[in-house]
Amino acid sequence: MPNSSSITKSYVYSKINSVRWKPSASTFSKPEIFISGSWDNEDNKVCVWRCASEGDPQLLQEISHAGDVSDITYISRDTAAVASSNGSVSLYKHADDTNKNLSLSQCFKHAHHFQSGSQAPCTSVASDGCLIATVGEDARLLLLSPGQHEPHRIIDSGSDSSEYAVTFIKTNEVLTGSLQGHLRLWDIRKAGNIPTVTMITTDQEWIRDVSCHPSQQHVVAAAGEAGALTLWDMRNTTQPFTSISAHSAPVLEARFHRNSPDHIFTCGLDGQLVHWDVSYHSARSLLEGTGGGGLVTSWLHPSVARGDVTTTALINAGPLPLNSVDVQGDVAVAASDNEALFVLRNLVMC
Amino acid sequence: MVSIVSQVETGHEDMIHDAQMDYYGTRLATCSSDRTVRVFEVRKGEQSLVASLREHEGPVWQVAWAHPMYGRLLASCGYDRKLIIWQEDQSTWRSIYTYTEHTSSINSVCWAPHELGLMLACASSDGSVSVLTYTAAHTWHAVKITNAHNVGCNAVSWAPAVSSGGLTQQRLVTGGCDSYVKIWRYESGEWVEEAKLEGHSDWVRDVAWAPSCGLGTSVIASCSQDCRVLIWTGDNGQFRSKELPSFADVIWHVSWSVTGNILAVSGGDNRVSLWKENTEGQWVCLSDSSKAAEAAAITASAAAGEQQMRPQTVH
Amino acid sequence: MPSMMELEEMISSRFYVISNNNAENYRGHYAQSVGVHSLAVYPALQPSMPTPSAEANKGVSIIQHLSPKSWLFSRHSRQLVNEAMGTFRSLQGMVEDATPREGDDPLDLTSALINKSREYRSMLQACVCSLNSDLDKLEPDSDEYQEMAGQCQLLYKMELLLGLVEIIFVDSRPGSLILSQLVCWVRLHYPACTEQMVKIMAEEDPSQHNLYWQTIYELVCQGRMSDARQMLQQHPYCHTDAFVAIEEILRKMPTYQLYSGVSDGEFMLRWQHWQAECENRLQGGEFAAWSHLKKLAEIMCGNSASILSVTMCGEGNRNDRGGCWVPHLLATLLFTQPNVKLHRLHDAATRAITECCVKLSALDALLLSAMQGDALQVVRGCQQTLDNLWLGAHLTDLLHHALASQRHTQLSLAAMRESIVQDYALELAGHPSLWQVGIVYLDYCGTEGVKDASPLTSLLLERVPLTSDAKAHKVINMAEQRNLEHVVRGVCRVMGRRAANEGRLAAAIWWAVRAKDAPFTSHTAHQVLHRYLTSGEFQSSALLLDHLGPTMLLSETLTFLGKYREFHSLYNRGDRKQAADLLVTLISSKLAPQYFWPVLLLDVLPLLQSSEDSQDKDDEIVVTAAHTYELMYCLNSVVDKFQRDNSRDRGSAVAMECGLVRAFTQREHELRTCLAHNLARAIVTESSSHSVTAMSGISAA
Repeated sequence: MPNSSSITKSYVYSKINSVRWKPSASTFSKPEIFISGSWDNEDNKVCVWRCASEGDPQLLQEISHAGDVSDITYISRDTAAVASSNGSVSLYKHADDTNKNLSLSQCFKHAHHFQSGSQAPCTSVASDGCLIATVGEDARLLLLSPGQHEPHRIIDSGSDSSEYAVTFIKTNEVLTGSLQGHLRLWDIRKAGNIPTVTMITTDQEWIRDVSCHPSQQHVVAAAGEAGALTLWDMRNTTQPFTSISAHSAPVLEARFHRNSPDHIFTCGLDGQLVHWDVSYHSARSLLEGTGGGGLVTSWLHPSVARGDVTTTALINAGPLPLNSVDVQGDVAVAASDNEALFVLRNLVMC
Repeated sequence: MVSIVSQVETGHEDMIHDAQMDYYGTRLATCSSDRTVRVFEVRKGEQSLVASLREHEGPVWQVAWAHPMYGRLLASCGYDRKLIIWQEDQSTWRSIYTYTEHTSSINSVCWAPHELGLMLACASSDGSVSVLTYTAAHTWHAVKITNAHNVGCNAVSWAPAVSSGGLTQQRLVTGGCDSYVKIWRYESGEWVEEAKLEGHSDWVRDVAWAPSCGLGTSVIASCSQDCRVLIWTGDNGQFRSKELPSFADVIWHVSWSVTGNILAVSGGDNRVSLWKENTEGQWVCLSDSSKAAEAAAITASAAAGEQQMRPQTVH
Repeated sequence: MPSMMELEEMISSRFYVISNNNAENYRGHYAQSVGVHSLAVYPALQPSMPTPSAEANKGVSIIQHLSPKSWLFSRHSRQLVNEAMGTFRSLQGMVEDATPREGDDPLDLTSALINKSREYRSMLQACVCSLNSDLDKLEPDSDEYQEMAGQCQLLYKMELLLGLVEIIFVDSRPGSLILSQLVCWVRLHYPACTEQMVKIMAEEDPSQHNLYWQTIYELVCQGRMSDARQMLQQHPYCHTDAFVAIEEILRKMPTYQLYSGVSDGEFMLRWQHWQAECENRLQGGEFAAWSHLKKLAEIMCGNSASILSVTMCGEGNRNDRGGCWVPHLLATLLFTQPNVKLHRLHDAATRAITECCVKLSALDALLLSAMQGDALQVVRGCQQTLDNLWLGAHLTDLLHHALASQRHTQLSLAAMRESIVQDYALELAGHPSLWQVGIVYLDYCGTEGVKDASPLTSLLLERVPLTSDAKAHKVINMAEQRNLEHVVRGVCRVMGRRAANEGRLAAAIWWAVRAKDAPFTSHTAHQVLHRYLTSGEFQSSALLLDHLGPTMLLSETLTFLGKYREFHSLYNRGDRKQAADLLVTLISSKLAPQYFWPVLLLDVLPLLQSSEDSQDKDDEIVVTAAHTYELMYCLNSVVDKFQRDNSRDRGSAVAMECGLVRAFTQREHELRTCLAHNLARAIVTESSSHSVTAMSGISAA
C-alpha cells in the first residue's frame, strides 16, 4: 500500500529558476540528488541537494554562479550544463552523490552575444548525451561539444528575435521555440541556416518550453505565453494537434515524465504546478484493442484533441511564479520566486 | 541601520555638481566643474566608467536621464550657456544636439514625463526657461518662457503625468532668484503662469515636484537660501505650504524618492535628512521620533581613504 | 561590535551626518534620492566660494551610495519575508470572506487571528532554531557569530512580544482574568528551569546538585507545582513532616480555570484560604528546620524579597533574554494577585520593573505598552525600535483586524496599518530580489473597497531593471494581473527600443506591436525597408512579416511591409495577376512610402516582361492599362524627385548609390520601354475583350 502523497515546502534564501534531478544510477532506484540554480540574486548559486524519503531537502553544496541561471540540463549522469543570463554555458561536474565535489569543469564564456558584442542571455539548454544545444536572445542555436572550446556549430536562426526553448527530438534533430511563437526543426547535419520545418501559431505568443515524448518522438509538447499546453504531431506540422489551457498565466516549463510519458507536468507564472494525465486513454486503447500494441500514443487519442485530459493542480495558484519542475519516479521538485523549494512525494501515476 | 553600499570614485578633477542614476538604477551620470560629464555602470557595488563626455566649455551644473523607452539619452547643462543632449548608440556616446539660445548660465535641466513624448525643460540665469520637444521631423523645437524669474531661474521640475479627458497636462515648476516658486501650464500653444507662490524670502535654490501618488494632489518641495524648506500642496490650482522644522543653514537641494514618499534635504550644514509625511499629515524627520535620544545615527566620513561608520548618539 | 542592548536599540536611522575634513572649503553635501530609499551623497561647494586648490580637492570626486541595511535580508531571516507573505495573504483573504454581507452580523475572526499569530510566531521560532544550529558551527569570537547571536536575541524578543500581544489583544478572554495565559506565555519563553530540572533529575542523587533548590524555586515561581513536587520527592528526607507539609501546600494550590464553572469570587476565596493555611504553617514554624522549605513557603505567601531573590538570580532569566522582570512579574502575580485583570497589569509590571532595577530596553517598553493595552503605542514602538518593518507590518495588521470592533482605536489603527504595510512593501521593493514580494504587499494597501492597484505599484514595477526577456515577461505579467496597461506598454516599449538599438528589427517590431506603439512601430518598419533598399532582402524579419495577421494594422508602414511580403509570396507562387494588382494598389493607395517606389517599379519589371514573353497566353494582360498609367505617373514622379534632389543636395547622391536605388537608375530606361509596350498591348486586349463582352451582351438580348 503506497503512502499518500505529501508536499514539503522549504525556504532557501534565493529565487530558484531551475531544478533538475540528477539521473539515477538505475531506473528503479528512488530519486535522491537534485541540482538547482538561482536567478535575480546579487550572488547567484548553483546548489546540490539531497532529498531523503521524508523531510526538507538537505543542502549538500553550493557554488557561486555568474549571472542568472536560466536553465539546467544533465548531459550525463555526473555532468550538468547550466545556461546563464550573461550568455555563458557552464558545465558542472559532481560524480559522487555523498561528497561535496561539485565543481565547474568547463565554461563556454560569452557563447551567446548580440552583433554589437554585448552579452545575450542564454535561455535554454538541451542535450542528447553527447552534444549540447543552446539557444539565446541573440536568436542563435549553438551546438557545443564538451571538451572543445569553440562551438561545434553555430546556426543563425534566420530571425533576430529571441529563441527561448530548445530540445533534441532525435540525435540529429533539434527543435527550437521563440519569442514570436514559432517552432522550428533543425537538422544539425545539414549545412546552412534553414530549418527543416517551421511550425507557426497565429497569435505570435512566445513559447518558453518544448518537450519531446521520451519514446515516441513525433509527439511534442510546447508551452508559453498563452498558458496552454500545445501538442504537435510532427508528422503533420501544418497545425497543432491540440491546444489545451490549464494555467491562467504564461507557462514556464512543460515536461514529459521520463518513464511514464502519459504524464506531463507544467508550471507557470500563476504559481501553479499542473499534472496532465492521459493514462486513462492508453488503458482504454489497450482494452479496445485499438492501441496497436501501445504504438499509438495516448496523447494523440481523438478525445485528447477534444480537450479530454485529466489536469490536477498539485500546487495551487499563488501570486508569484513557479519557475521550474522536475519529476523522477514518483517524486517531484519545484521551485518558486517565493524562494520556496517544494518536494512532492508519492505522486499518483498509473 | 544605514550603510554605504558602494562608493564611486568618479575621477572628476573638480567639484561634482550633480549625480543622477538612470531609470533602473544601474547607470550613474555625473557632472563637474572640470567640464566633463561621466557615465558609470554601477552593479552590485562595482562601478566602471562607460564614457567621459567633454564638450562643455565650463562647469557642468546638472545632468538628467531620459526615459529608457527613448533609448539611452542624457541631457547636461552648464555655465557655458549650453544644453547638450547625448545619446548612446551601439555602446558609444556622442552629442546629438546642442541648444545655445540662452544668454547666461543654464542651471537646471529636467526631462518631461515620458507620456508627453521626448521633451525637456531647462532654466537659465538669464531668467528664462526653455522647453524643447523632439518632433516627428526628427528636430528639436524650442519654446521659451521669457522672464520667468527676475535676476535668474535656478531650478525647474516637471509635474508627473496626469491625464484629464484623454489629454496629458503639461505643467512644470520653477524657482528663482526673485524668491518665487512658479507653476506653469501649457495651454493653447503657449506656457502660462498658473500660480506664483510666495513663501521664501531669499533665492529659491531648488524645486522638486513629487511623483504622483494618484490622489490628484500636487506636491512640490522647494528650498531656499533663507534656510527653509517648504512643501506645497495644491488642489485645483490652490497651493498651500507647510514648512519643515527649521534648518541651521542654506538648503541647496531637495530630492524625492521614486515613490514620492520620502524627501531628501541637503544643505550647507553638512547634514542630509530624510522627511516623510506621517498619518496625521505632519512632515517628520525619519529619525526625529520620540526615541531620538536613543537613535543611532551614522557618521560617515566622506574624506578619501577613510570611510568608516560608527554609531553616534543624536541629541 | 554593539552590545546586545545596542543591537536591540538599533533603529532604522535614516539620518545622515556627514563629517568632512575639508569642511572649510566645501560646506555641505548634496544628496540625491536613488530608487526607493537609497541616497547618492557627494560634497557640495557653496557657489559663492572660490574653487579650492587641488590639494583641498582631495576627496571631492567620491560619490557615496547609501542605503538602509537590515538584518531582515540576511541569509537566515529572509525566510521570514517569504513565509510571512503566505500567512499575510491568507489572513487578508479570511478577513474579506468574513466581511458581513448586508444585515449579517460580522463573523468572529478571533480563532483565525490566533492561528495566524501563531503562524508568525512559529516562523520566528524556526528562524531562531536555524540561527542557533548555524551558530554552533562558528567561532564564538567572530563578528559573524556576534551578529547572528544578536539577531537570535532580537527574533526571540519579537516572538515574546507577539505572544503577549496575542494574549492581550487578540485572544482576550471574558472577565479579562489573564493570569493563566500569562503563565503559559512565560513558561514558553523562559524554559530554562524545566531544562535544568531534566538535567538534575538525570543525576544519581538529584538533591546533591548545586542547583537543586534554585530549580525548585524557579519551578514554583512559574506555577509548575507538580514539577516542583516531583523534584522534592527525590530528596532523602522527603517523608519527614516538613516535606509532607510543603508537598500538600504545593498540591492544593488552586488555579483559575476559565469555563470551569468556578466564579472569580469563589476562586479568590479558595485561593485566600489556601494562602492563609500556608501562612499559618510558616508562622507555626513547621519549616523552621529547613531553610529551603521555609523560603518556598515564603514565596508562596507572596513575600516579595524571597521572590525577587529567586527571579533575580534565575539562570534562564539573567541572560539577555528580555531581562528578569517578566518572570518576576509572573511570580508576584501568582502569589499576590492571581485574579489580576488586564487593566491592573501595567501597574504590576511597572512595580516588577522597579523591584528588579532593570534598565528598560526598547523592547521592554513595547511589552509595557502592550500590558497597558495601548495598541497604538505598540505599533508606533515597533515602527521606531526595529530597523525593519517585518514585525511592525504584521503586528499592526493583526491588531487592526483584532480590534476592528473597538471604535476609538479603529480609525487611527487603520491609518497606521495602511502606512506601515506600505512602508514595509517599499522596503521589500527596494531589495534587488524581493521586489515581487513587495508588490504583493502593496496589493493590500490603498483605500478599502477600491480594487485598483496602488499607484506606487506602477511606479515600482516600471523601475524593475529589465535584465532579460524572462524578467521583462515577469514584470509584464505582474502588471497585467493588476490591470496596469500603461506599465505593460512601457516595458514593451523599452524592450523594443533596446532590440532596435541592437539592430534586431523583428524583435523590435514584436515588442512595438505589443506596446501598441504606432509611431515606434512605423519607425522600425521604415528601418526594415531601408535595410531592404540596401540588401534587397528582408533577412531576419521575413518570418515575422509573413505572419503578422491583424497586428499589421497598427501602423501604415507595417501594413505596407506585410502587404509587400504578400506580394512576394503571390509572385513566387505564380499568381502574377494578383501580385500586379496588389503592387499597384500599394502605390496608388499611398501606403507605400515614396522612397520605396523605385523598388516597387523594379518589381513590376518582370511582370511586364513576362506578359511580353508569354506566347501561349497572350490574351492575358498582367498589368491593366489603367494600372500602367498609374505606374507611369509613379515613374515620372520618382525620376522628378531624383532630379530635384540631385540639383539641391549632393548628399542624396550618396543615398542613390545604395543597392536597389542604383539598380533602378540603371534600369529606368528599360522600365519606360516596357511600360509603353504594355500599355499598347493592354489597350488592344482590353478593347477587344470589351467588344467581345459587348457583343455577347447583344446576342443574349
